[in-house]
Amino acid sequence: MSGFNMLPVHGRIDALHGELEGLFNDALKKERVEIRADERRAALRSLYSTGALSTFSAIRANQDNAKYITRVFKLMKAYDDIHDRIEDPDTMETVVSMGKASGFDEDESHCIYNLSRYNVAINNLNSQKVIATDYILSDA
Amino acid sequence: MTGCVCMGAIEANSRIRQKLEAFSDDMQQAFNVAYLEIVADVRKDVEATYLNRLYNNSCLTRFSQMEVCQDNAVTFNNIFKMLGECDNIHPADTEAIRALGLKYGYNEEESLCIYNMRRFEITIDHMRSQRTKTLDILTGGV
Repeated sequence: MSGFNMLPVHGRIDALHGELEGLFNDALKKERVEIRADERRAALRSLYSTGALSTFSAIRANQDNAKYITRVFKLMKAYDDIHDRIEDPDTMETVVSMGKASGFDEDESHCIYNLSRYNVAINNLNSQKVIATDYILSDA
Repeated sequence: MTGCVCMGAIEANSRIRQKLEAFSDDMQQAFNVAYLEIVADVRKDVEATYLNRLYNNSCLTRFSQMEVCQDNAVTFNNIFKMLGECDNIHPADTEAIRALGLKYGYNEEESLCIYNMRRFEITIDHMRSQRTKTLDILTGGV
């Protein structure tokens, strides 16, 4: 057995351990907040994808962009097949790579994917609008 | 004898210092590895949550699969009423979107989804209006 009193050394090691853990957790806490903010921004960007949605909303067909517009519709149709695969974490990468293969950048690809998703919802709601009116009138 | 103890202490101190330095490097490396792993996990989790909110268990999916019946006809019809009132609201004005949705009995998620639907509907309608012209151009009709 050592003749030294090791208690102060153990105390310091414990304190250092606690301090390091604290620093680590603090750093992670900050990172978590930043990641959440980042992802929220990315989600909003993918929804409104500032440039692409505005471009598509105002685009006017002409000789130069005719093929581009046609490709938008082709890609929208191609995306219909992957709607039910969104639970797969790689799907958003598939969205981007499919867009790239058709000549679109990431921003445009997200936007076209959203156009395709919302189009399905809009078509479904429109298809049932008359039935809903019938129900309401029959209740009146 | 005393000299011997001092030399021993100096040697021990030097070894302790070396150990502490090695420990510091080791800790820093372990910290970096753990940190990056946790950050990657958190990023994945948050991304999955947002994808889920946007697409999977979302109102968008519900609206895409919704079937009208006697019980939901009024709620269903309110979607169209709300769609008709979205145009004057800026996308950043989420408070106004929420208030409009509330007026028709929708929660925040539903309201934002209906608002988004209107935004995308405008774009889709516009794109469709240009489609015929596009085909004319491509087939040499214009």
